[in-house]
Amino acid sequence: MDQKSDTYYIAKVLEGDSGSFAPLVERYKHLAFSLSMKIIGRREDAEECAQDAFIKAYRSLENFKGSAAFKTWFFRIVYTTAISKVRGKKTNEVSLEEYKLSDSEMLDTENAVGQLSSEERSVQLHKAMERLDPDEKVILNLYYFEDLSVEEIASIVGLSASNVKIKLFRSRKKLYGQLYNLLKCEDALLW
Amino acid sequence: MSKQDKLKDFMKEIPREEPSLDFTRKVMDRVNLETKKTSPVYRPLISMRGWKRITFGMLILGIGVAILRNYFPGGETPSILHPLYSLDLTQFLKPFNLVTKFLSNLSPTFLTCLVAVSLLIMVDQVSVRFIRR
Repeated sequence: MDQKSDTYYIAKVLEGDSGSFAPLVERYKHLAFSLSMKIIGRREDAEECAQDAFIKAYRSLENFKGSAAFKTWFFRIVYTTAISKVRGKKTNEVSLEEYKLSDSEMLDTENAVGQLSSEERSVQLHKAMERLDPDEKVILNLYYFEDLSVEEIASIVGLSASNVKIKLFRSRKKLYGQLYNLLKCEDALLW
Repeated sequence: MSKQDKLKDFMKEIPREEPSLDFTRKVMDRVNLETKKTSPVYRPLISMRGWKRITFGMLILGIGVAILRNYFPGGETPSILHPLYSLDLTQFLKPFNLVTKFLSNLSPTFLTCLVAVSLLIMVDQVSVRFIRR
């Protein structure tokens, strides 16, 4: 297994060895694709977007100063590429009325989600995530899935850390709201 | 366990979406194309087309002058051609004379090398054009 650092490969690419870009692609392709999917939603488009992001990163690799981690720098490229692809396009998501959950309802929802089987929980969470705005999906994904810090997310999405915190709080609440709606619907069907 | 930690655990259970198996290959193909695009391409100062035009122009001019001189060998020439007859070609040849003088001062070995290199450049130019076709 190759354990060399990102900076090692970046230096090699900058020396003219374009083949050294492959380990970086291999290392970050899942993250790039996953982030693109969260924003774009369509598999083919998301894959194209992730590829475009890699090419953009390759072209501007000499501008990478190394002050931030390559991962954060590259995520910013993926994010802007994906956002520019969806900008102006109408999303085909179903617009649902936002339901403001009370604290007790949030707790109930969390308990209900906790009681579901792992497989069912994944399905419901996936459905609920799909109903969020791309920005919200990205922030939740980066924070909970990729384990990035608020500061790192802020530099990727181009917001201040305090704004990210607010968005994170709202997105989480909205996610629970969607889960509440989904579980309530399923209950109603069962009745 | 806090609410945030629980959500983190729930989220981690969602299976990660995977790109296609040949994703890396596709990206690297595009990277290789990029590399080819940005590699320096040798471009001569005067293109082959340029040289052809210059040669053609000189040929036409030479033939034209020769024909006109044959038609009007002396005496009765139209006034429009007078400047042509009054041309002092030795003025044009002056730079060539200087070059010949300079070359005659150089050693034969150096001259042979110079001619050889020039020939090699010419052959290279022509072969590159043919290979591209």
